[in-house]
Amino acid sequence: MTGMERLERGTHPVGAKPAIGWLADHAGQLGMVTVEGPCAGGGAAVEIANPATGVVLARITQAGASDIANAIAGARGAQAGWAALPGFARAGALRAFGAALKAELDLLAVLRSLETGLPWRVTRGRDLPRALDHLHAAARAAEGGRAPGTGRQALGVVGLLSDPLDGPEDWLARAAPALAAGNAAVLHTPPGAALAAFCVAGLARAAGLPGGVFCVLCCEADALATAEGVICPDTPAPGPASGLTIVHADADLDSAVAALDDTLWATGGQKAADATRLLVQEGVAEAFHSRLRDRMARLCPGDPLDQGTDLGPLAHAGALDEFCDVARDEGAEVYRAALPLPETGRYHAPVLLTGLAPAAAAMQSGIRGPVLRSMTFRTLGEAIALAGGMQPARNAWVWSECGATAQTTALALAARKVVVNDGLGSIMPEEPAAFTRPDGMPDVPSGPPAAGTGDGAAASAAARAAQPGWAALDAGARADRLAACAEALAASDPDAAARLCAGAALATMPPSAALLAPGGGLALEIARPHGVIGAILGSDTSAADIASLVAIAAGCGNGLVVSVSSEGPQALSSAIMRGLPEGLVQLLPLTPGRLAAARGLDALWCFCPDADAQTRECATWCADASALRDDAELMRRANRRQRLWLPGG
Amino acid sequence: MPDERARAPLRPVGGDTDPPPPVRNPGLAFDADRIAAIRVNARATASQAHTIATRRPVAPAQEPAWLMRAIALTDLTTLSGDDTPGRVRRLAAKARAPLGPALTGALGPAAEGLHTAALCVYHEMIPAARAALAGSGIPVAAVSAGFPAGLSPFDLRVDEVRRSVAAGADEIDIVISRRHVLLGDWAALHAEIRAFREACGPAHLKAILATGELGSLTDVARASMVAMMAGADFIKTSTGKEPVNATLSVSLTMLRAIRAYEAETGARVGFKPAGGISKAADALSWMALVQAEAGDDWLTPGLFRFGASSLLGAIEKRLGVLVWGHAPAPWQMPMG
Repeated sequence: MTGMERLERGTHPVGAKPAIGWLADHAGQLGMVTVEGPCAGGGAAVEIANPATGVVLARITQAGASDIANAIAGARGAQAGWAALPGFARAGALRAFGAALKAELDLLAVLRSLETGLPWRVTRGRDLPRALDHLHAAARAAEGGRAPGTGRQALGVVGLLSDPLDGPEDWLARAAPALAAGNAAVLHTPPGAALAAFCVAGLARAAGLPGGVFCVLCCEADALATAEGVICPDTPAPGPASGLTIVHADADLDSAVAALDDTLWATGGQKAADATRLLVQEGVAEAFHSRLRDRMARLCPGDPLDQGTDLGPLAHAGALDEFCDVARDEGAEVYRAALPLPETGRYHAPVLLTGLAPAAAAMQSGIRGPVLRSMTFRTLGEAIALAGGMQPARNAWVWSECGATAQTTALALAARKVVVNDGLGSIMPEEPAAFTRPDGMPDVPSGPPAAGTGDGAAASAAARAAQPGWAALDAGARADRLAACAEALAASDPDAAARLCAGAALATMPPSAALLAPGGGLALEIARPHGVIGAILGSDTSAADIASLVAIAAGCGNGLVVSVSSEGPQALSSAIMRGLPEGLVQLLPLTPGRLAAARGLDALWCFCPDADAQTRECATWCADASALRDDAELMRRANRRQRLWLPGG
Repeated sequence: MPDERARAPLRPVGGDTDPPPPVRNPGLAFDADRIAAIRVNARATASQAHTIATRRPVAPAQEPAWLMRAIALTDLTTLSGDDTPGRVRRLAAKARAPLGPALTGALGPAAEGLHTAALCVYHEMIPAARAALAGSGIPVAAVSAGFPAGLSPFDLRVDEVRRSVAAGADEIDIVISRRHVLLGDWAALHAEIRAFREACGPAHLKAILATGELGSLTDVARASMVAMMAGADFIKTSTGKEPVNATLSVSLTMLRAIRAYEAETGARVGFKPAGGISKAADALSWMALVQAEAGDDWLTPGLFRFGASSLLGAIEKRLGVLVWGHAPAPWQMPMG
């Protein structure tokens, strides 16, 4: 035996044959799956190329307006029958769907890796099993009678918009509970992630899901969102949103560094939730960055279809080098891992930018790619302030071995999901109830409120100033203040006073939940106030209905700006003015359009049947006045959900 | 022959082409703040250890090379109350020629001259081991310092180390006082290991942390750092006598400590998982973890050892399957 030479692992190619076969079988008919009849091909044709090789995998005809209309019509036709099935029958269909998916995980993983360039270890080893978990969770929810629940019904045809590179693990998180609740789902997919989506839709149909109930369209997101007859609930906020990691000085630095393998590098920072921003406490910043650079230099770039590959090619060529140059001009130190990148394919070495200031364009930018942008902070308070001053992160990761520090940080973040001391954390499926509405209530939710100016602006600014202090109060203290208002109102309007009291009491019990996971993990779903809610009411809304709205919205910790008719509920208004913090709740004779255009609303509710289309478009919830008499629905709407994953150990 | 050992205290493997033995760890002054700042999250570490150890499998064509390396990294060990010179001689023969002639022939030139990294015995067996290994270049390692509990009088433990070195041990595997860790008395732990290191003289010191009795990964990391500060040349997981022996989480934690220590001091400290590693697949998992976390340099006997007694037999069987398609017959696997 001679000296100790380096041990080579050898290559582990994954067979692409089944996927190539699938592509050949479906050549020429990709574009629409599960709806009867051929795709009319109203949209443009796009070529799907393998990012690793540039080889064209398929040619897809994008769905045009008539295809979308057909798909929605088909979905509408199927939805009534689907919703009429008992929960266990829908669950059975979802389980059959899950079994079909499970049988084809290898094929799907290769398709995903071929079209996106994501490493097989990510698609097969991590993402697709999570997709399967979502289906099973939804099936259980349907079996358990939690979908849609008594007194509630499915929304109808639900449109689901996806982000570039979103895979089954992302959209099944919403599609599965929507289906469990009795909706038909029409999924939008961008061309770059369409092949796996089509394959899944085919599997759903083959598994016996009624035709039209789940349908995939490769089209423009707007084309589906604005189509007639489809509801797009919970539309992701537009604009750049990227994940944020916060590392405190008392964190396990090595584990925090290694977790970025999963939360950032595995997907090349290309997905909306990827942790491309980092806040690290100044005292450990150098130690953290040097460990990070070391680890970045150990990643294995290569063929996505090799089992040993950590980094695949990027799905889209971005101007990453120019971006790094700009950051360098802004004073950032640019570290680019010196990795042996394959010559063909859009590979990009992982980059760490340190020394950025909050004002730097590089920090504000939502560019996607394997570029981690890091800033330092001195104290817990400063970390929270810096995070609050950034574009809100969709997902956040907090690292601290001190429970109090981790909890305080997590609860101060606006992120929809916060993971403490872990990588991806457990899946946290949507409740099917999110895709239902009370019986008999029309529901046309739409996008987030648009920015603008108007008379409502001053009112919303005043409410925003008062809201944080109000939300910081104990829920019981808020209820007591509202009860005191009710007492003042009791003589003049006993009906409204009673509703005010009842709503305030209900608001002390927000719909938060905790779930114990194996290994002692805790998955928390925390109901948090939105902030400031705008509400547009019809002129004939009764004072008692307004009292319910005020009691529940404010009782949950929100500020509220309500447009009422000019005479308005004087007694209620004056009782509230006297009893609540100044500016928190305002009942004003604003025109609906003006309130809708007000800047700084976190949610906009429209209960006014006469509101114009533009106002309805801005609203996050549209319903008629009967919703004001449904306290449970008001409670559900008055809170946003934050998910917190606290692993055990 | 103490002079000879002083010149070449730890011989890696084989002939003259080997790299020079690594520079010994000089240690650091005790720094309580440095120790207090160490934090390890148990759950994240456990899941990462599993992922890192399994994410890059070894291709079948490469597996024999990896398994032969695993043999070259093994401290073949016998630590039983009924050890005799005869038993030690038999084990020494196995250390010199770990694979039978049939398997060696089938594996070709790569298997020629293959031997284990060391032979690990109790103090009383050192002379027998030295005699049996004479001329082979295979070092003798002795467990010492009140192994396995480490609760005999301190001066006797230091003296035991000294006498083992005098008896001819090239490497000394000491056990630490677990109570110093459990009570947070890091300065006492540092002083204790420092004393053992001084007693070792030219012999290399492996500090056994007995991680199964330390309670938390944070304490494993702190004990690792203290041992390295005190001058340990190797840190080792277990005696093999604790209820829980080497685990991947503990190994990842210790490897990270080794890297942090190297980043701070430039000194490279070796790692020895011991106890419970008995399957060929386990050996590959540990090697994958070491390669990913510490780097290729650690896949050499100067910086990595398996402490194992039954691992060698399992590797022989697996090699047989790889080259012949079936496990070797019992008469093809010389008993150790």
